[in-house]
Amino acid sequence: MRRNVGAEKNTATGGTRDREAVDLAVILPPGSLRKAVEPHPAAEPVTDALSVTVDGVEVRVPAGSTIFQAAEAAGYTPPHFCYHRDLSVPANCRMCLCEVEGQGKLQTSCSISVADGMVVKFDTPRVVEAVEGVLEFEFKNHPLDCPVCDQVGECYLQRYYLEVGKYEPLPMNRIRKLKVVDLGPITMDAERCVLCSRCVRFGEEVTGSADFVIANRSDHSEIKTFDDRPIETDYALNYADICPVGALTSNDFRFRKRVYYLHTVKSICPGCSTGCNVYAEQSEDALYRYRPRYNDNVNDSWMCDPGRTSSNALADTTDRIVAPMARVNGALVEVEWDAAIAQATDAIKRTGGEIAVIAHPDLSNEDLHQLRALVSHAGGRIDFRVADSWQQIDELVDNVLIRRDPYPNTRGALEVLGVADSAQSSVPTILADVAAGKTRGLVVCGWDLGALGEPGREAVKTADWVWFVGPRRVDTLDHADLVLPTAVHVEREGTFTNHAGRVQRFWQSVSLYAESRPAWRVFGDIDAALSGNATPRTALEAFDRLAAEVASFSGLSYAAVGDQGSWLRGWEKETMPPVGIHAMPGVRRPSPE
Amino acid sequence: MSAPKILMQRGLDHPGKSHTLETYEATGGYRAVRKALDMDPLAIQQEVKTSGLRGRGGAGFPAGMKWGFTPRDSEKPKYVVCNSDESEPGTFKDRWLLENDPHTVIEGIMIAAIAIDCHLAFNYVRGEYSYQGQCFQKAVDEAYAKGYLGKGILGSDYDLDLVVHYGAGAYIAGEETGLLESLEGRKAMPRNKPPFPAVEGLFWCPTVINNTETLAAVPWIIENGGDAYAQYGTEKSKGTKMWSCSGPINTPGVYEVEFGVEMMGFVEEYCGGLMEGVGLKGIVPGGSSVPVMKPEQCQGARMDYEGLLERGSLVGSGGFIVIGDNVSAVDCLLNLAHFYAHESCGQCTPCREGCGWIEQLVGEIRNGNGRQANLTKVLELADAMAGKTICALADAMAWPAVAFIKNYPEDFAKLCAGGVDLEALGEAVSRHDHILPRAS
Repeated sequence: MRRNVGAEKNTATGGTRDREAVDLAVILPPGSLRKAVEPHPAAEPVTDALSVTVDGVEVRVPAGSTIFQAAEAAGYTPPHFCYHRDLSVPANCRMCLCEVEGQGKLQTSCSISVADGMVVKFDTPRVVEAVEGVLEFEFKNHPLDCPVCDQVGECYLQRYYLEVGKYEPLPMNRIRKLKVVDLGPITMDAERCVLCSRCVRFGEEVTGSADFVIANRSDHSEIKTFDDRPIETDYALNYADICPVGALTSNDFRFRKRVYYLHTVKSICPGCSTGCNVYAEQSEDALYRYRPRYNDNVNDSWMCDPGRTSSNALADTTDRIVAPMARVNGALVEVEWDAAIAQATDAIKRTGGEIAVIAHPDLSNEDLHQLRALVSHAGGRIDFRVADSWQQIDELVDNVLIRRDPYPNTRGALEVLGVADSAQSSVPTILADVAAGKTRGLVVCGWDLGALGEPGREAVKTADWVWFVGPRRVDTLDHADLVLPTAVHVEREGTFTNHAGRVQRFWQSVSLYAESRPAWRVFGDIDAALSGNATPRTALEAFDRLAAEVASFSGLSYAAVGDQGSWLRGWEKETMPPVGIHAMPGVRRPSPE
Repeated sequence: MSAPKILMQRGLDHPGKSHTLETYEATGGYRAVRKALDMDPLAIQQEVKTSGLRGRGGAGFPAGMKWGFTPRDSEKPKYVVCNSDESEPGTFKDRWLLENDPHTVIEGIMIAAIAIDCHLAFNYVRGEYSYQGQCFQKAVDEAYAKGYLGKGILGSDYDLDLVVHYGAGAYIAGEETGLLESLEGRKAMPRNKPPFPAVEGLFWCPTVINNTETLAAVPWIIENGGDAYAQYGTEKSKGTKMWSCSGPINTPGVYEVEFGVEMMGFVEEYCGGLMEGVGLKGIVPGGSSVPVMKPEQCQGARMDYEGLLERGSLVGSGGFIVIGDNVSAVDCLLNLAHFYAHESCGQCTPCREGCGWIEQLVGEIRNGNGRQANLTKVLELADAMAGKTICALADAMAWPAVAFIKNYPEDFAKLCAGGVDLEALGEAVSRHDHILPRAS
């Protein structure tokens, strides 16, 4: 049975529900349906392009591209294990073989650069036979344990064999290797390994931790860590991603769900100011995992383990606020949203003076813009710089991806709230004014009292009223008169702006939890009651208002941002260097530098 | 058959002394390199091109042309690497050179270095050749002591250092890019080509890498001129070749002959004929990697690049293995398969899994558990391996596998359980023997 692997449009969430288990992994024998692939950066028309014909399809690719890239541009991803677009090219799996007109031997498409007028064929019997042969070799010492293997559904070997396998049962003596080796974040099964060396190269070229080596020779080759020691890098789970088979599986995700039950939505990791592009994957409304999504301006194909496992914390609902709450006779009681909004509006009108708002860099650009609109109509001051981390927004912890600033939208908050010019946080003054009784209403977004510190503790006691806006119960709730539950980012749509000024979209993956609402809607409703401006109906509309009113966002739209993001006005960059150390001698990138 | 002794004369004339600098100089040593120092580097390259000297390591690529591929105006340093990682079963000619005439090799390396403007050269000696490596090291020390190597060689202002490096015992380190990886300190895993070593070789700098025998011929060529060298041999295979002869022959050893001699005549004249009571089963002319030739193929075969290719085999590295009729082809193939299954670097899938698989299938036949299906599978696997890997090790397994089954089906049939339908086997062979080298 051949599944349709094309991307489906997920109309419910507006995102692209991508059922692909692994990026660009599909082999198609002659005559079968060709997969539509996302255009590779190399496929964009450029002036010094070379003309290449791949299976009768003529494409233009820049000089220095490989046949593999040309084939991708022509809509065909050759089968492969060892090729990875962000690693060097060893050409050792011998799966992406092709016929090049005028050359006798079959060529590996990943390692051969194109020449103008080159004619390449992947759909000839000779190539298919060669790929069949290679797959047969891969199975020589591979256990047939798919039923108990966690890679099923995103296994290149399984997928390719389904397409062009020989289905010729042969008695064989398998070579035994290490199995079920616990390497900390990863479980290794060396028998399932196809020795593509992706893990070896990732360790050498991206993290520099060089965790894996290939030990021994010939068919006794096996991947190993030194002395079978656990992997200590913060990027270990990428090994599970890049492993095309079930040799390296994630201890975090292993055996929790078959991947073909997962629904995939494009998202952004909220773990730090880097803003790695991810796929958020859920089943039956439960978030199971993040997987890095390619973006050469941000994270290439990688993400860190803390960011990845933050999906577990996100999926945890034990401390979520279920419904809006108001303080009645000293206790918080659940109220309807309409009542909560009405109470909030009344409070602002009654107070009459300025209000103080402590925003949060977890809020999306849309949320922050609506909040700013609310403050401008109510009158008051707003800042979000509770912690010092905003000053280290660009600072890398480890030369790979993790940044010191742990919030996803610090850059967006600086730009949207218009505080980018001030070098000092105004949060202490705002809170001091509340504590001194100069400002009487206080809105706290997400922060707990520990973060707000002593000025915060004073302020919540002195203020006429305190609202808490956020998804989770924190100690600030003890002093709140009104609690407005908001959605976490996987439950709604929106944009974050990363440290470098790249505006990036995320889509809704799971349903809104209980009564919670997107923050832009909460702020929009209050603002509407105050000013008469209608609440934006969608996140898209909220973003359009933002783009119309904030200079650095002008000209941007959801369409322009797309799934690869877009630079803020004034923040445009030519090219971003590849992620990782890349300092090993002889390291070759797939594309010319 | 009056063969010139370009490479071996000194060793034969001065047994026990030929490896010393004294003997070497007394017999005209280090004259060629002095001449080369006064020559234009391009003229040296041209002289080697004129000589028609082809690589003796196996591929037979013209040496002068290889030198010519190094960029003239490279900002990177350039290197010369001598490949003494002679590990092919049946080949032991470089061993003779390192033991008996190491200074010729040194002089060859020096001339190659001058020809491409290189100031640091390496000799990569097979790990198992510890005695030969010591011989060579001793010669290098002698040369250094006399100022022939080091700063300002031979009184000129040309600096050249020569480093002797031992391998760790991997056959695949004899493949030129595998050797470079090993020399750089990594596992000897061959690189993808292009880029070729002449452009990006050792430490990703332009590198000339030649076989020991190739470099040993260079001093004679420079001294006597490329034309003189080209007079020997045949039209396309110029000069002389050292053949290391083994098997049930009366006088096994290393013999240097002109290219183009007749094979059976060579066996009689140099190898002393076959041992008494042993008939000829076949000859593997170029080391274990090349297809075996049956007696009727050997008869009248010219021992040069074209002549052997016409008969379906190759010069390879000159490991001339005579197989007697008291040996089963199954044992021969099993021995080779065991070697290649052990020596495959494990990088490319077909070679990594295929070599071991062939060993397993042939082993089953040898133990009486094999069937005809084993043979057809071996042929299929060989077909799936040949020409589909980074280096030629897969071919080196696939060619003998197909050739042994093609040439000696009855040997295999004898051991297969359930008998073998020779006609069906013949058909299977004809489906897959297109992988064997053949004259185009």
